[in-house]
Amino acid sequence: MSVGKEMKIHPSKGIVIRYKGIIDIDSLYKDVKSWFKKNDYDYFEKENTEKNKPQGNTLIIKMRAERKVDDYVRFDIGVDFDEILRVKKVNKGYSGDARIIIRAEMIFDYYNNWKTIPFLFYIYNNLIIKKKIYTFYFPKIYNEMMDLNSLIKKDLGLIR
Amino acid sequence: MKIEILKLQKIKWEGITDFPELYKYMKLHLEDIGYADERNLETRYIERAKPEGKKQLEISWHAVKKKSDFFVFNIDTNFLILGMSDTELQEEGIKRKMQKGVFEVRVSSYITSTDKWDELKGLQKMYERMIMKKRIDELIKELYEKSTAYFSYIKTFLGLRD
Repeated sequence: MSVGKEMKIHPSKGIVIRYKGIIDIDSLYKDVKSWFKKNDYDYFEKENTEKNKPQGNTLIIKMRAERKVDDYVRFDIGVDFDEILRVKKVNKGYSGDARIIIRAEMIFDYYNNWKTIPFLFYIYNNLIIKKKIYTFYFPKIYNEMMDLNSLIKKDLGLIR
Repeated sequence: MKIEILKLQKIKWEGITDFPELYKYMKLHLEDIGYADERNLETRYIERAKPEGKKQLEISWHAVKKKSDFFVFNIDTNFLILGMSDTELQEEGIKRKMQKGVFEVRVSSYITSTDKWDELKGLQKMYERMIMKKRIDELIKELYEKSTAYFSYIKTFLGLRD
């Protein structure tokens, strides 16, 4: 398989975690944000939506983070609190139905220095640094994605 | 040259808030950090009357700050307020007029080059690029910090998680 501009690390639909029950959203949100900070990612939010509804609030939070590993490779990780439904305050946090999706990918040549010479870009990715991509970058981002997955599952009290 | 930092990041709140206060505080925040003044911020303000006394607002701001002879910081803010109506809320025994509706704010930030940079040619541009690379990284970091702080400020005002 040839290496292009980006390489997805997650399964096609992302790592999906579904949970129904008590969720401490505030601490989960803080923990994910801190994880990004601890791992040197630049963090930003694509979306932060809260809808006030009689049956309980609906939340959508799309967290994004990028880390420039070197001048050529960037790691992008996204965590979507895709839709947390019927969020109601209870004793220990909130109750609700959550669907959380984790995605990770590698972006090559994020400065677009090779944009004008795609043939050389192809050669560089598929011959010169291919081994490094699979033995160095890939395990690194994969482990980080799974580490984040564990953190979220731990916060939700799920089996890891 | 345009370097995008935040791309249409969305904050959406469906419920009650003090919208005039939010509008004022956001404007003050941009003024405080030197990106805007009273006259050159708002590029669009559309208010449409809807049935049952509700309103729809579409507001755009373009805030700029010149960083050097070559680069300018830009922060764009777009409001889309749907079904906004006035409502009264009792807060600590005091009646307060607030607004109910769907409040959506989108924030983008980017660095643009000035004509001076674009007019540089050949070797001079290559030389400047080499010299400026580190400086550009610093500028990216600075605008990233300013614009994410502004984004957080809006979230905090609306009582969203930050």
